[in-house]
Amino acid sequence: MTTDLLQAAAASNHWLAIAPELILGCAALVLLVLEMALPREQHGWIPRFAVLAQTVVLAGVLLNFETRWLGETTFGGLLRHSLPGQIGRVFFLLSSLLVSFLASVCLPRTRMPRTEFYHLILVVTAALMLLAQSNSFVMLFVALETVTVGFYILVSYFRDNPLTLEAGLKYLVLGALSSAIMLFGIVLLYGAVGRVTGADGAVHTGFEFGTVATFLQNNPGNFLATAGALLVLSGVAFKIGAFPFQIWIPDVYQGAPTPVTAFLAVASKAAGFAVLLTLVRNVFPPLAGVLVPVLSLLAAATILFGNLAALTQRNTKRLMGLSGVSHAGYLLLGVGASFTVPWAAGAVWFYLFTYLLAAMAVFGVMAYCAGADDTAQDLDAYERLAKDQPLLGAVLAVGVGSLAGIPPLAGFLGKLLIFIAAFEAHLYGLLAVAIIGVVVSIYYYFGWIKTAFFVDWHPPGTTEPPAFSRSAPGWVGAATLVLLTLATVLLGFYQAPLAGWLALK
Amino acid sequence: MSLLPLAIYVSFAGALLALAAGAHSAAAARWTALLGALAGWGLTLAAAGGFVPAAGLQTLTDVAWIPQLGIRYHLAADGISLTLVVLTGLAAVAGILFSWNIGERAGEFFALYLALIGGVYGVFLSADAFVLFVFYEIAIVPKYFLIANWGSTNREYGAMKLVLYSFGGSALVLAGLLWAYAAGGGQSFALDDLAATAAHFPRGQQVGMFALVFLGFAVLAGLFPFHTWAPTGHVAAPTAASMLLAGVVMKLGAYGCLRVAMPLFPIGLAYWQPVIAWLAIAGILYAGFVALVQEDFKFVIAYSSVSHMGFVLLGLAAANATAAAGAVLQMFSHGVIAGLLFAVVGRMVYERTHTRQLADLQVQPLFRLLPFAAVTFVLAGLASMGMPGFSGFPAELTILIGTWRVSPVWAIAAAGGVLVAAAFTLRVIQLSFFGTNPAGAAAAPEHPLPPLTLAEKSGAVLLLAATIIVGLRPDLLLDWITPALQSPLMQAVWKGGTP
Repeated sequence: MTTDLLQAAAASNHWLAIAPELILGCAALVLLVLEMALPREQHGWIPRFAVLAQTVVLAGVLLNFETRWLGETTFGGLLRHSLPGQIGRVFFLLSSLLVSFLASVCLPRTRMPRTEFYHLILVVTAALMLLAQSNSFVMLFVALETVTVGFYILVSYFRDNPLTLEAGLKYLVLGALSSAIMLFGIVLLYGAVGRVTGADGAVHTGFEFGTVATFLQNNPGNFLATAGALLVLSGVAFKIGAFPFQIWIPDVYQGAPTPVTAFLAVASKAAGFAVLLTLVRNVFPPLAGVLVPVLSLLAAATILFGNLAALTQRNTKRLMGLSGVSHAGYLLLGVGASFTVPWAAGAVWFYLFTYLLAAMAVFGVMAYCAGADDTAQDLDAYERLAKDQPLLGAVLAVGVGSLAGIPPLAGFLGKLLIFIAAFEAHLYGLLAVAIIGVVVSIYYYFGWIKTAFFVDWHPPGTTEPPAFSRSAPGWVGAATLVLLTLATVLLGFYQAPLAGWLALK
Repeated sequence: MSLLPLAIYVSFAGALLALAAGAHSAAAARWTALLGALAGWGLTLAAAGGFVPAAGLQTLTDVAWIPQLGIRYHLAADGISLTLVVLTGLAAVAGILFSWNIGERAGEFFALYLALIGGVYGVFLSADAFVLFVFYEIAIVPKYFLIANWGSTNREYGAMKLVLYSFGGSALVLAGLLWAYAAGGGQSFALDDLAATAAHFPRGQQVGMFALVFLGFAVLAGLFPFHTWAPTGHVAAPTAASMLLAGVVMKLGAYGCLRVAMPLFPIGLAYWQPVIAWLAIAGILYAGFVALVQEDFKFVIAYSSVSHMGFVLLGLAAANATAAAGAVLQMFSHGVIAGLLFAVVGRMVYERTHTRQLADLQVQPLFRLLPFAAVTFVLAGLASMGMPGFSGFPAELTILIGTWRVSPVWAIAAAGGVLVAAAFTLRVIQLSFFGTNPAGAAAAPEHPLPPLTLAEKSGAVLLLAATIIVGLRPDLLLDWITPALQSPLMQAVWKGGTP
C-alpha cells in the first residue's frame, strides 16, 4: 500500500467530528488514573467526575446539535453524521447519565469496586454513540462488540451473587452466538457485493452501507445478499430482545445489577433500534418485500410473547424485562412501517424517548426498593410503598402508567404515533395484535400499581406489617425522579420541541 | 355557557384537594369532595340556565394541542352534552352523599372519585375525537382502583374484568378512529372534520370503521353479549362507584356511539342497524330474565341496569331523531334511577343488615325497620318499571314510538322488556322489603338497625326529585335534546348517509 492511499484515507479523519466520543473515552481513562492518584477517602469524587464528564458532553452535543459535519461521511466512510445520529448521541448520553445515577444508589450497598463500573459505562456509551452513526458494517460490528463486551462485564458485576454469575454466563454465550450470526451475515453481504470501483475511480467494498445499498438496488433478488441481510437482522434482534431471540432476557435482567438492567433495557435496546432504522432506511429498502413480512411476524410474536410471559411474573426485574420485550415489539411495528412511511422513524425515536423517561423512573424506584439481594426484587416488596414513601409511589405510578400507555402520559403518545404510522403503512393485522397486547399489558401494570398503593398485608396474628428494606431518596435522587416524572407528564401534553426535532410528520 | 369547561378543572382540582385533605382527616376529605362536586354541578346548572338550544353546538374552548397530528383541545356543548353533564353533576353529588361513611383512606377514595367525574365531564364536552378518547381513558383508570380497594364481593376479579373490558373496548375505538384518521389523510381529529372526510370513504371501509368504533363504545354501554363486565363490576364496586358506573360511566359508552360512531359513519349504522337492534333487544330481555331469578339483591339491580341500557342502544339503532331523543332521555333517567337503586341496596340496606341475599332479607320486616329506604326503593322501583309520572316513562315511550316507525316487530319485542322489568322489580320489592316472617314479629332483630343519616336522605331526595321533575316535565330536557339531534351532522345519520 502506498503512502498516497494512506494519506487519502487519513484526509477524511476529522477528529473533531467525534469529539464527544473521544472526550468520553478519555474521561474513562482519567477515572482509572484518578483512582490511583487520589487517596482512598477522596474516591467519592470519581463518580462525580464521571457524571460531570457526561453532562459536559451532553451539553456540548445539545449546543452543537446541528454540527457542521451533518450529512458528511468521515474516517474513510466509516461514520456518517446525520440528525438521527445526533438524536442517538443525546439519547445514549441521557441514559448513561441516568444509569450513573442508579449506580450511585445501588453500588454503595455492595463491596464491589466503583471506578471500573463508571469506566465501563463511559466506554460503552461512547461505543453506543459511534454505533448510531456508523456507515459501514465494519464500524457497526466493532462498535457493537465494544458495547457487548462492556455489557459482559457489567452484567456479572456483582460477582458474589450466583444468579448474577449465571446471568453473566448466559449473556456471554448467547451474545457471542448472536455476534457470530451477525458477522456471518456481514460476510455473506460482503461476499455477494465484493469490491466495486465507483464512477470516480475509488474502490468501495461490500462493507460500506452505500455500496451494499446500490448493489441491492441493482440485484434485488440476490439470494446470498438477502440471506446476509436476514442474518444481520437476527443479530440485531438479539440486542432488542425480539422473538425468538428473547430467551436470555428474563434471566439476564434479573441477574444483572439494577443499573445494568436499566442500561440494557433502555440503551442496549435503543442501540438495536438505531441500527435497525439506519439499515432499514439506508441499506435494505430494496428488500422491503422480504423484510416487511419478516419484521411483521417478529413484531407480532414479540408483542404477544412479551405480554403473555409478563402476566405471571412476580419478580419486578423479570417483569420489566418481559414487558420490555413487548415494547420492542411495538417499536418493531414502527420500524416495519418506516419502509413506506418515512416519519415512522421519528415515531420510533419518540417512543424510545418516552420509554427512557418512564423506564428510568421505574428503575429508579426499584433501586430504592431493592434489598440486600439485588436479584430478589419481588412484587410483594412494593406493598405499602405509597404510604411509606409517597414520592416513590407517585413516581412509580406515573412511570408504570406511561409504560402501560395511559393517556395523557407520554407513553400513550408514543404508542399513538407508532399506531398512526402503522395505519398509514397499512399494517392492519399487526396493529390488531399490538392493540390486543396493550390491553393485556394493563393486567400486570395495574397489578404493580395496586400493590404499591393499596396492598397492606400483615402476617397472620400480628398487627405489624413485614419490614421492607427500602431507602429514602436523598435530594439528588428525589430531584432526578421528580424531573423524570414531570418530563413524562409534560411530554404527554406538549411535544412540540421533541416532535420538531424528530421530524415527525 | 363559557364557564362549563371549569367543571372539568374543578373536578380535577377537587381531586387533588381531597387527597391533600385526606391526610388531615376523613371528614375534611369528604367536605372537600362535596364542595368540589357541588361546584361542578353548580357550573353545569348555571350553564343550563343560560343555554339557548337553537344555537346548536357551541364551542367552549379551542386551542391547538398537537399541531403535528392536527389535534386541537376543542370543547363544545349542545343540548345532549348539557343533559349529560347535568346528570353527571347530580350523580357526583349524590354519590358523595352516599359515601359519607367512607372512613378508610377517604382522601384517596374521593380523589379517585372526582378524577373519574372530571374525566366524564371531559368526554361529554369534547368535540375532538382524540380529546374525547383521552378523557374516556382517564375515566376508566380510577374505576379499577375504586373497585379493587373499596369494593366488596370478589372485588379484584370484578375490577380487573371491568377494566380489561373497558380497555378492550377503547382499544377498538382507538383502532377505528385511527383508521378513519389515517384514511382521511391524517389532517384532523375534529369530529366534524372526520365526519366530512369519512363521507367519501368506500362503503366497505365505513362499515368496518363503524363496527370497530360502535362496538368499542357499546361494550361500555353494556351491549349484549359484551355486558358481562357490568354485573360483576357493579356488584363488586362500593356504593358510590356502582352509582357512578351505572349512572354515568355506562352513558359514556352510549354517548360515544351517538356522538362519534353514528355521525362519522352513517352508512355503517344503516348496515349494522338490524344487528345492533336485535342485540339490544336480546340484552333487554335476557338481562331482565336473569334479574328475575337472582338471589343477590345487588345483582338484580345490576342486571336491570343492563336491561335498561338495552333501551338506550335500541333507541340509537332505530336511527331516527325521535328514538334518539328518547335514548338521551333514557340515559338521563336511568342515570338517576340506577343511582337511586344502588344507593338503597348498597348503602341503606347492606351497610345495616350486612346481607344482600334476598332469602335473608325476606325474614326481616325491612319496611318497618327502614321505612325511608322502603319508600325510596318503591318509588325508584316504580320509576324503573316505567310508571307514568317518573322519568323512565317518557324516555322508554319515546324510544318505543321511534322504534315502531322503523320496525313494529322491534318495538313489540322491546315492549316485552317493560313487562319483564315490572316483574323483576315487583319481585325484588316484595322479597326485600315486604318479606313474610314465618316466625312472626318475634324474629325481628333485637338490635334496631341504625337510622338513616341526613346525608343519605338528602341524596335520595335529590335523585327522587330529579326523576319526578323529568317525569312530569320531560319537555324540559327534550327541548335541549331535540334541536341537537337536528344538526346537519345528525340529519345525515337519519338519512342513512345518503345526502
